[in-house]
Order: sequence, then structure tokens, then C-alpha cells
Amino acid sequence: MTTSKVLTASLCGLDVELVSVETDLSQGLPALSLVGLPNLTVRESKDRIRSAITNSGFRFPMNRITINLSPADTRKEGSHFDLPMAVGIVAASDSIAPDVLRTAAFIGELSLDGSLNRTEMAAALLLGLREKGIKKVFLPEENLNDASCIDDMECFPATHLKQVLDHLSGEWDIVPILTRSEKNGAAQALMRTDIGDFSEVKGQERAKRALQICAAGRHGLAMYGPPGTGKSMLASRIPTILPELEKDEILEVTKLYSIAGESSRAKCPAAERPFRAPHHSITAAAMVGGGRQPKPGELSLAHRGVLFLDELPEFERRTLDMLRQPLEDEYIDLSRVGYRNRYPCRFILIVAMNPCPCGYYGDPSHTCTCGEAQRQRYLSKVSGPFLDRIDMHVRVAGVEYAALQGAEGASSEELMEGVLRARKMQRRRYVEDGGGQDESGTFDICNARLTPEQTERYCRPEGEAEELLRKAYSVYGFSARQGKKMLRIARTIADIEGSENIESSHVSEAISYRRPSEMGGGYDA
Amino acid sequence: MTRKSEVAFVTPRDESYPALLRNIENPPKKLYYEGELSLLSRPAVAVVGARKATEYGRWAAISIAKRYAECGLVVVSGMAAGIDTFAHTGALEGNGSTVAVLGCGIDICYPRSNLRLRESILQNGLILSEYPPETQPTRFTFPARNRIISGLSLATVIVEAGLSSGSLITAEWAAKQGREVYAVPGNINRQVSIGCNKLIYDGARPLVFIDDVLTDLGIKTEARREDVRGLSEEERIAFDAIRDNGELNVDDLALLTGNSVQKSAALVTILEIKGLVGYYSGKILIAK
Repeated sequence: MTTSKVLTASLCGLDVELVSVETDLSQGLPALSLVGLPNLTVRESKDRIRSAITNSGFRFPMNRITINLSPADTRKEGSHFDLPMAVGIVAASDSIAPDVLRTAAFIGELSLDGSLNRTEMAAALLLGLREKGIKKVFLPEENLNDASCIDDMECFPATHLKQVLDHLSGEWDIVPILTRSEKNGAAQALMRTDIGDFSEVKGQERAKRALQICAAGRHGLAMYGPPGTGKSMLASRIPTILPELEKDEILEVTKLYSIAGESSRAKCPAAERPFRAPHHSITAAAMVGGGRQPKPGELSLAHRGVLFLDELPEFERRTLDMLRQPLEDEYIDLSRVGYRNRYPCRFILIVAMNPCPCGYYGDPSHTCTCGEAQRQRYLSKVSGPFLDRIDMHVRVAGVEYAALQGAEGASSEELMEGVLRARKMQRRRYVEDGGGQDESGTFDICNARLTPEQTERYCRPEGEAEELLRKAYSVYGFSARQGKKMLRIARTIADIEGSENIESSHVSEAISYRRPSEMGGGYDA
Repeated sequence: MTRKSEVAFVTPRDESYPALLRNIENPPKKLYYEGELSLLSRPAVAVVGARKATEYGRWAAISIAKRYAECGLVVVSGMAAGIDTFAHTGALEGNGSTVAVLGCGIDICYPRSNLRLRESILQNGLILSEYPPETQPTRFTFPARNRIISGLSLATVIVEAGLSSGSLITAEWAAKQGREVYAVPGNINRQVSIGCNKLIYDGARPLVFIDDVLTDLGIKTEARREDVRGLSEEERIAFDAIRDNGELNVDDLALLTGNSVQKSAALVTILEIKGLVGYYSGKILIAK
């Protein structure tokens, strides 16, 4: 036997492709040639493999070795090809060809001494392998955790190449671990405690209420206020009132983090909804995703979670304008020569900004030192169409005012109750309608994303409420689009209260979240 | 661009030259105009103030001009940035007429940001200047045009003015011309109110109620209280809280009335739709 075939996987955007590593030993000058479009990392494997095999006590064959990564016409990336290639070389020379090679896949990076290192993309690869019907996989022990969100997968964890090779030749037994995806409630509870509770934010009940509505219906929210009033503090607590990730969502989020190479920094598998708060110096590529083979950016890393942009006008305008299309479509297409990757980005957008450069415009206790032209210039850094895409707008007042009031406000638990009620109402309503499934098969329709026709059908105010809305149209000069936006917010408010009908109090509260005039909104006086 | 020869003007010899202006010390020899000249025969009040206005000033200028315009007065101002702009805006909001007196040629829009305002004024208002077209604004032309603003008006209201504000010159002219001067009082710790407060000290009438000018001029005002009667109990409580406490935000209102924030926000919207209150930069104020 001088050839072997070992299975592994390769990433191609969000998709995973099954790759077979074919090794052939032939007579000739000792050399190793690697074909099948390997990138630099994969090409460098050659040197790692040689040392790793020798240092594991095996003989590196003194033959002309050809390794082909099939299919040969797609680019291969990542250090996880080390293990399958090493196994392939040993299998070709030592004639170990147990049946397991035909059904099992291998992933893992090798050290020169033969030990197996963690690979960042493991979660995405394992998910892909499982989808392709591979149920056995050899992987670095450190990556075992990545597999824990996948159902029914037989994992053979190893810390050293020797263990894998010995297992294959029958001299050693790696005890396989059968994974079961089970949500780890304890881990989740643990995560939640370090964020902080909404009850710690005092005197900002209006802003909290707005956050509750945006969590319940996935509306976007813009907060305006002077510095130091707790805008960031409020936003950072929103994960505490979001429902837990669904099983499919966990897989999706885990996969995205894994592809982005962020799986070790984030908990993998994802235990909670992502909360991403990129600094305003972020480049456009880091925001939407990029690179020669495009990786997910902050938008996609916030998928199923929250994207918080603090100090909005400080972001580059180009970066912000790039968000418009993804906000609308909830996915982003990254096209490069030879690739087109589509990454999902379905998140709640929360932005915060000062009303003027000095921050005190309209503040009762400080004097604003900005001129009108200066203020306009500052505001114009954020384009109108961008703010228009945000459903809800709320002003956050100064702390001095709020500090006077010692009263304990709503806690995360109380707010969460309303959020869950609203989500349940939405699910029932939209699933009954036969809709609600997105392309990934996950349920995720919500009030904020209703189309104009759906808004017409589901958000129908009656009697007094309709009368009120009609008046509002003329008083505030709402456009049809703004009116629909108000209706969707009113729908969410009604859902939070568990009411199937949209009452006038829901409509009038919804109207209070319109864009204020000093932020370029319409009527405000 | 209009050519010089095409721009209309009136001289004191003309019938349509405003009578009030004829009586002042040095009436302009020529008044170039664009728009509705007949406005000059109607009673007018000047509303002027500082270029750098606060939110309070904005509210005051808009409310005052709107009210007077609704009661049939012509609002005269200088189309400068800040209070002047708000005065014109308020008058237009009240579906009234407004006259802008410029310190440059009437074909020049200064400041440029008022291009849209200029167009709305021209729709059924009037723009005046004593300077021939194409005259650029200088620091001397503005004080001189202030005498025309006060000269056209029965009374002059100064909304906000710092110590060196040009509006103080308008007040001075008005006093010289024997017209009543009103000043909107302000907090004593605010730069932009010192000028106004000092005017009051010097004998100007403080504008305690917006309607003061109307009362003094003997203009009949319709009662505006009617709307309040149609309010429900909780709307009335919210309205009273806003009226009695002045600048509030939704959180404060909720605390004062004991309602939840969502209830309070909803009530404010209803009161707003009924035209009783309004948001001014995040704070809820009585609309008037």
C-alpha cells in the first residue's frame, strides 16, 4: 500500500466542504509536494508534519511524496490540515488502513513535538462535517468543547499525534465521547451575573422602557444625551433582558465566531446572545467583514444579538453608510475575485450620541458652548437615511436630575418578563400565519421586520386608536413610512402587555419614540 | 440674479411708503422690496434677538411670533441667524405674515443657511432693504437697518440679548422713535439674558405674558383655555404638572404624577396632539 485517503473539511464562506487528503508515495528523490490550492498556512504544514511525525517515534518515509487536497480546485485555508496530512503519510507508508479512515474525519494543528493544538475554526468544521454525514472525528482535546453544541457526534480527543496513530494501528484506545447538545443552564447563569442588572441604573425608567420595547420587537434604538448620563451603561445591560439563544441559533452564532477566528475569545459554543460594541475608530472592513478570503465583521459577529455603536458621529461616515444595506437585508454579501460569501447579520442596533459636540445642548444644568453651525456640522456626520432606519429614539437626561430620585427602578427580571411575553405573542401570531421561518430554518420574524403588507394585516388599530393615529398624521406630518413604523412599535407595546388589540395608549406611547427635531426629525413643537 | 433696474423700490414721496417709517428721524430715502408691499399698512410688531440663541430663546421667539401672527399682527425681524430666524419661523407657523428687513441688498441671502426661510417668507411676506441690490453686508449696515425694523413696528420685543448684542441697538432706536420696548426676562446667570434684563432695569417693559403686547395694543385675543376642558382626569393631572413645573422630561413627569413612564409618555403625546404641550429639546413645555 503506497496510497492513502484521509477525510477532513475546509471552509468556504459559511459552507463547509468535505476534503479528502490523498497521499501517494512513489520512488524517486525524497521530496514532498502539496497540490490542491493550499494557502500559505497549509503549505507550511509540510515542515510541521515532518518534525511531528519523527518526534512521535514514527519514520518519515524517504520517498517522493505527493499530497493532493481534493477537490483540487477550491482554495484550502487553515492549520487544521496538519493532522489529516500526517495521518495520511503514515497510513500510506505503514500500511495501516483500518476501516475507520473511511468514515472518520481528522482536524487539528500539530506542534513540532507532535502534540496537537487547538484550532480556531473547529466548531464550524465540526458542524459542517456533521451536516455531511460524518459522525466520527479525531480532534485536539482542547477543541472538545467546540463539539458540545452538536448532536450525536463521536469525538476522539487526543493531545498528541502518537495517540492518534497508535489508536489507528490498534496499540492504544482513545475513548470516544458521544456529544449531546444540551443547553448548559449553569454556564448561562454564570455569564449573566457579570453584566449587571437594570435595577442598578436609577432614574432612567424611560430609557429602560425603550430598551425593553426594542428587545421585545427587535426595534433599533437611538439614545441622545449629554455625556455621563448612562447611555453605555444602559446599552450594556440589554443582554440581561434578551431571551436565551435557541438551539439553531447557538449553532449559527458558534459557526460565525469560529469562522472569524474568535471562538476562543467568545465562549464556544455560544452560550449567550452576542453583544458587540466596536470602538468608533473601526475600519469599514472590520465592520462589515473583509480580507482576501472574507471573514465575518462586527455586523455578523453581532448576529442574533446586539450591535452597540457608542459616540455615533465619531464613526467614519463611510463606515456607517455601509451599514444601510445590511440593516435592510439582514445579511451581507462580500464579493472578492473568485469568492462570494454571504454572512447573516440579524441584530438589534443600538446607537448612542451626544446632541452636540460639547454634549450639553438642551441640558438644564449646563450651558451648551456650541454654535448652531457647529452643532449642525456634528449632526450631519450621521446621515439622515441612516437615522431613519432606526425605529425608536429616546433622550437620556442628565444624572443630577435622576440622582434626586432614590426610588428603585425596574429590574432586568421585571423587564424580561414583558420581553418574553411579547416574543411569545409574536411567535404565535406569525407561526400561525405559516410564516416566520427564515432561510436558515430558524424562527425569527418580529414586529420590527414586518413588511408594509404585514404591518397592514397585523397592526390594525381600531376605534379610538385609529382616530388618534389619524390625528397624529396631520399634527406631526408623518409620512406613510413613519406611520407604519409607529404602528409596528405600537404592536410591540401591545404585545408586551399581552394585548392582541392595539389600544390608543399603545399608539400614543409609540409616537413618543419618534425622532426629535433637534436630531433632524420632523415636527417637535 | 435680478438686475438693479428691475428691483422695485418706494420713496417717501410714494403713497405706499409706510406711514410709521415716515415719522422717524432719518427715514430711508429708498426702500427696495420684494414681495407683498401692502403688508406695511398693517399693524406690525418687531421680534428680534441674539444670533446665538438658547433653547429657551428658540421656544420664546417661536411662541411669541406665532401668537402675534395668529392674532393678525405682522411680525418684523431681521432674518439673521438665531432669534430672528425663529421669529420668522414662528410667524409662518402661525399662518401669519412676516417682514424681513435686511442689512444687505435684497438679492443677497445672508446668512446662506436661511435660503429656504427666505423662500417661505417671499411666498406671502415681504423682504425690504434700504441698500441697492448687490450691496454686501458690513458691520455698519446692520445697526442702520435696525432703525427700520423698529421704525416699521408699533412695538419691539427683544427675546434674548447679550451685553453687546445688536438687538440692544434696535431697542435704543425704538425708544428714540417713541415706540414701546418689551424685553423677555431671563435667568440672571445666563449671558444671553443679561442684555434683556438690563433693558428692563433701564425701563423697558418685561414681557410677563406673551399676550401683554396684544393687550397693550388693544388687540382682541381669543380665549385659548377651552381645550383644557376636554381633557380626561389623568390628562388634566399631567397637564397641570407640566404647567406648574416648567421644564420636565418624561421621567420627571412620571415621578410627579405617580404614573409609569410609558403611561406618561402616552399622555404627553395626547396632550401634544391636542396642541397643549410640546417637546423642546427633550423637555416638555406648555405650548403657547
